Amino acid sequence: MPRSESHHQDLALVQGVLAGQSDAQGKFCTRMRCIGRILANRNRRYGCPLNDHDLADLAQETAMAVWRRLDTYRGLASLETWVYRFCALNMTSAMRKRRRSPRPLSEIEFDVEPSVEPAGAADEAELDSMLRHLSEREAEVLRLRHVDGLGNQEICEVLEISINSVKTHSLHAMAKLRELFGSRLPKEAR
Amino acid sequence: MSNVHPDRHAGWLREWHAEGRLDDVQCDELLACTHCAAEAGELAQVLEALDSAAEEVRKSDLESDQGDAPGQDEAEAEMRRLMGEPRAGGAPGVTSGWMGRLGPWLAVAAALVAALLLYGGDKDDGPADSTPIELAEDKIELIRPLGEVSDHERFEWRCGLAGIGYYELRIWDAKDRESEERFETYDSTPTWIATDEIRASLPRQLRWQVLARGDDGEELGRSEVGESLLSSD
Repeated sequence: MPRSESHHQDLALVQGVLAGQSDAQGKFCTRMRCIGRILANRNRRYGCPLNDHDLADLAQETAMAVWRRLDTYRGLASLETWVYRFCALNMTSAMRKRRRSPRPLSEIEFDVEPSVEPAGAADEAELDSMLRHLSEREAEVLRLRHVDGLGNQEICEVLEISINSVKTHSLHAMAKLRELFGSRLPKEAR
Repeated sequence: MSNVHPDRHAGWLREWHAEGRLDDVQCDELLACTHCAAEAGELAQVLEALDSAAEEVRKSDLESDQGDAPGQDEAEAEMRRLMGEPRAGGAPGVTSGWMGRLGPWLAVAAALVAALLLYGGDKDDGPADSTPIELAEDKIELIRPLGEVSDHERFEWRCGLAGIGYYELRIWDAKDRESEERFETYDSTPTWIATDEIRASLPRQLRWQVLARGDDGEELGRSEVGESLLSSD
């Protein structure tokens, strides 16, 4: 199915939900199970800092945020891609909150070797190979912008820093990456 | 290709670094400059590589399904619950799962407090001045708690802004800006009541700020930061 047609159907679905059509609402609720899936995958990617209970709470919270903004969905991306940003924003906030409060010893899992390879480990490795040359904050800013799709204003709210700091970190990060990887790029592509 | 390299190019390159994008006209001018072309070309390549890796990560997060992920049932159930409520004035606006379940009770509490304020209750702990005050259209004025207070239960403010969907309260320890917690009101009533549980977790000396948001969550304005201290009695 062509992507644009799929998004058009998603938009029609959302309009149906907002109009109170019960069949649209049923389908939409089922689609929103993706919130749990996205959060779980991101949690796994970051080494499972949140337990199942935290994830369940976060899923509820994210569903609430999606519901509140549902009338802003314009069908420019698939519903799941649109929801992804809500998941990313909430997950990042939850992880930052978590980092600030001490974690009870009983909650820490000491399994170092995961039994299955984390989702998208190869993609993550590729991204990490670029970001590991940066400071933690610089990498965080690039992740939020490029992976999570957040804008400068949202990034400064999540990280609780000024918008100028966001730009400065981004500037330094890109300059470092250009220095490190720029010279390895094919000349004909320049 | 030109050897002319005006000062403005440095600013544009910085903007490109920071924003990851640039106006087409500016981009064309940079690419026509010998000095900038190489740097801009490398930067474009880095951005492309970064975006490509990020896209793969995002795709994997969206598509990977490793069995029953925790939160799937909760997300679906929460959405069904929300659909059973009227959307007017925005959906219940509290920030965490357990607080979400308290939403209706907070609304009832807020309504009770509003009624008490209107019909006169508890004068010694009421607003400093109950007469209507003309407030500038773009202003949010904090009322309580400010200065030394006997409790941190009731938070009140006045707002001259139009189109409020709900308010966001940011509360943090006066000595630790990093400790900030965020709470949201149920609707556009300029009052927020801390539950016993939240009150117990609030610092003795706190700072707080109110952000006004529209139904779509867009920030419409914010107050100055207020500070209050629980009296030792």
